[in-house]
Amino acid sequence: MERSAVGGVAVVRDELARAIVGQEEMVEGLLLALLAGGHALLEGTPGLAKTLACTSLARLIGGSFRRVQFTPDLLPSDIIGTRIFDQRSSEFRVALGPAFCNLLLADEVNRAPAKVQSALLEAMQERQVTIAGETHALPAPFMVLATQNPLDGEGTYPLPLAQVDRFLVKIRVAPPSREEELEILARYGDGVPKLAPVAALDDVRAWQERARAVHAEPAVRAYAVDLVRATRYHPLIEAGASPRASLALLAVARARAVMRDRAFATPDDVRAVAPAVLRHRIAWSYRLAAEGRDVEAELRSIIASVAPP
Amino acid sequence: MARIDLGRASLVRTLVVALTLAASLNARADAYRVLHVRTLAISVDRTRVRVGEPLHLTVRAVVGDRVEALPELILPDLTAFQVLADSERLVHLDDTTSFIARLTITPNVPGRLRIGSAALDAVDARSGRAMRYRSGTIAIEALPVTPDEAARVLARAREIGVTAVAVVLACTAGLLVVLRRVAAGSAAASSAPALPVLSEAASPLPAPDTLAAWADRLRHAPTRANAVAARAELWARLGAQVTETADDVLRKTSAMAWRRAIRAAERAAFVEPAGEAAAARELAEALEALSR
Repeated sequence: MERSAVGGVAVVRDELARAIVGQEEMVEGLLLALLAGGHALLEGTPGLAKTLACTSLARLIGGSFRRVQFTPDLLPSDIIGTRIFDQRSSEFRVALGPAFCNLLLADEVNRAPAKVQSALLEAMQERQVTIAGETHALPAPFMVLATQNPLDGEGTYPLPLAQVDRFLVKIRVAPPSREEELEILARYGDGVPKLAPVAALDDVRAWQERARAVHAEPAVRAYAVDLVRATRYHPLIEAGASPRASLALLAVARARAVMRDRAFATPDDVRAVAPAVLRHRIAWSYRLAAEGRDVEAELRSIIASVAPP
Repeated sequence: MARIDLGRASLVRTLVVALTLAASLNARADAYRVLHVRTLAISVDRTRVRVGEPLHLTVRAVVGDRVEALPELILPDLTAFQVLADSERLVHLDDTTSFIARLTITPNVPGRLRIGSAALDAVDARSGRAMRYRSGTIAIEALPVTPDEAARVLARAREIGVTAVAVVLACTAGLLVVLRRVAAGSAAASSAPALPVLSEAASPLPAPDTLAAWADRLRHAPTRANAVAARAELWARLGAQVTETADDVLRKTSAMAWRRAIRAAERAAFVEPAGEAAAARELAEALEALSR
């Protein structure tokens, strides 16, 4: 039975909160990306429950989950699959890769070479892969949760801006507060709580459909465009967000409206999701670092300076 | 060669002007007609524009008489705007005449601007008294030029080699701000022409300067356009900054009645089309509750 969007999503969120202490921004970001039908890039130091969040979300929506640890020796076939020779039948058969799941956790995606990153990004964009001339559609819903470790720069292949742009949102995962860390010790003393599915994949597809149908007034759309354009003419920005960002901003704003049980998007929806949608789509000038300015604060200042309708 | 006595010439000139003015005043006073004024209203297609962007102002007067012209109608004070185009038409229906003036205007300066009342001087057919009918006023939010547009203007200026265009515009904008302040300071004196004293009656329409009037307007015409205009009025009353959203305004407002009105205004302005009328009525109720 299909649940109402807000009731179902709220239940998923509540259950995620049982598994993860704090990290409201990460939980909200994951759900927004799921509803908007996009992919999420998570950035945070190790041990902040990024993997736990992904596995928990997959379990709660009754979806299949795969995890791929990206390493420098990874090959594209390790992600999408390949043809292998079956000795029993003396024929080649296609072995589908781990990408054929509902939630794919690409851990430390910046450790794999460009060829592997391209294969993943192509699968993300096309929602299908081609193996030996045969096209295979990926399951629906399909969501990639990629993580990047901001600490270890050695031996990494940073994703170029044009490819990072394909992620709908970039979620910053911050360390927990002292109280949250004490709560973690108390809660996980006996192990991670077992989660049971509280929604089905059909529910997720219905929520996504509802998000796509959310009404956005021309003034709200214009606000989204104005926000994106404001990143193109800032003196501390080398390259601002592309038109893909405008599409992403509207899509995520619509998802936020669904999470708040509304069939229409408001300027607050656009403004609230703007940091997550824009932060990875901007190439900042070297002057930013030279002047000791904070990237996040600068981005929020740009967002706050654009007048909403 | 004639020598001009400047002192005497100046006095004569002043006397001539004064006599002419007095004559015209008398003529105009005698020219007030007896009219059944039914409607006097102004409206705009949007209340939030950028400097240089056009908006359309409609002035509508309906009288219960068949007339071929309405020279008594005084258009609103548009000091802060530039009039780009205007048109007028007269529509007869049975014994009524609708006079509709449509002006395309654009704000000259950013900020919260006001389109003043339209006025109509006539002798009221019912009371026999000389009356000045006034419409409501409209608040316009003129946003500054966006960086995108500013960059385009500067690029264009460089192309044609006029690098001082931006400086000239800034000076003009500054001068217009000063002129607007001067005009606003003398608005009370200059908005009404120098006519014999008339008793100013209330406009037959509710003045949209009150929340109750806005509620009434929304009840009679539950449209998104009215809801957007009412929302702008509510934001102005709450002292909201140009860059503030509804959530920002809610954070600063603790009174439940105001919070209800803010949420209702947000909903009415952005709701899906199917819910437009219901949301506008809900806003009307919230504004009515505020006005009590």
